[in-house]
Amino acid sequence: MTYWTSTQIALIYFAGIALAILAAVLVLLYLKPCRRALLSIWTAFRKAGSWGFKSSLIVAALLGALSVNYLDCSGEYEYLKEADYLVLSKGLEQIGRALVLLSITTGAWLLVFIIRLLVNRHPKSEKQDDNDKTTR
Amino acid sequence: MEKTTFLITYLACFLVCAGITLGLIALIDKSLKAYFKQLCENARVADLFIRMTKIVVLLAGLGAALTADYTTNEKADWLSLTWNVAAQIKAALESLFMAFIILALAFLVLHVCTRIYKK
Repeated sequence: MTYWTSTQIALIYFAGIALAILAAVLVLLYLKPCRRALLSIWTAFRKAGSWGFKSSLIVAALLGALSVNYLDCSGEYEYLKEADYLVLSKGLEQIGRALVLLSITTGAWLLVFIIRLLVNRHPKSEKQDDNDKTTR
Repeated sequence: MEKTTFLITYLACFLVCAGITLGLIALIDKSLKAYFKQLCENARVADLFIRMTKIVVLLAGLGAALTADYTTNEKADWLSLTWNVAAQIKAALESLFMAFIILALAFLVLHVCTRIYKK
């Protein structure tokens, strides 16, 4: 039987949160080469849009990691001290939930970006009319 | 059962789920490129969308594969371990399935909308 101390449990809890945030940062780093494309989608409110996207990803990961409860019904964590792999399982659950929430948020933003791109696009006939007006 | 058995089984199962996720991403890669190039008419924006779609699928698969509630007490035997493994794979596949269905429906609706809009 493995006995866990409060410090070890706290370490796993905070490691879970740290890894969740790291996952969000890694996603942002993976998207960094496409920064210009990201900015070109926002015709207005560029900074707000860009920061909203970044902060929502980090908050989603943080929320996922924080949503795992280590306490039992009576508000104690004594059961974790005598549990073998339960503490590790809780830590993994934190990361898992963070990744799922991150996936949902990224998917939502993807749809927002596509819709935004399609809305920005002028139909060809309208573009021609605009060009005619400017030449006149 | 020994404790290392649970750990090795969990890791093996996680690797299988990760492999399935990466395999699915490799399978849809070409179709994604064709779809987004046609939709965006801009290589940079298409690249961004392809990357985002890959992230959605990858995180959905890995996130669900990580969460596993294994029974590790003294009563645990090979049968309970089998069910735990099945539950872990099921969670990963379920998450991937949901991600694919939602993305496919959204892409279909957007494709139809652009077609109607162009006409």
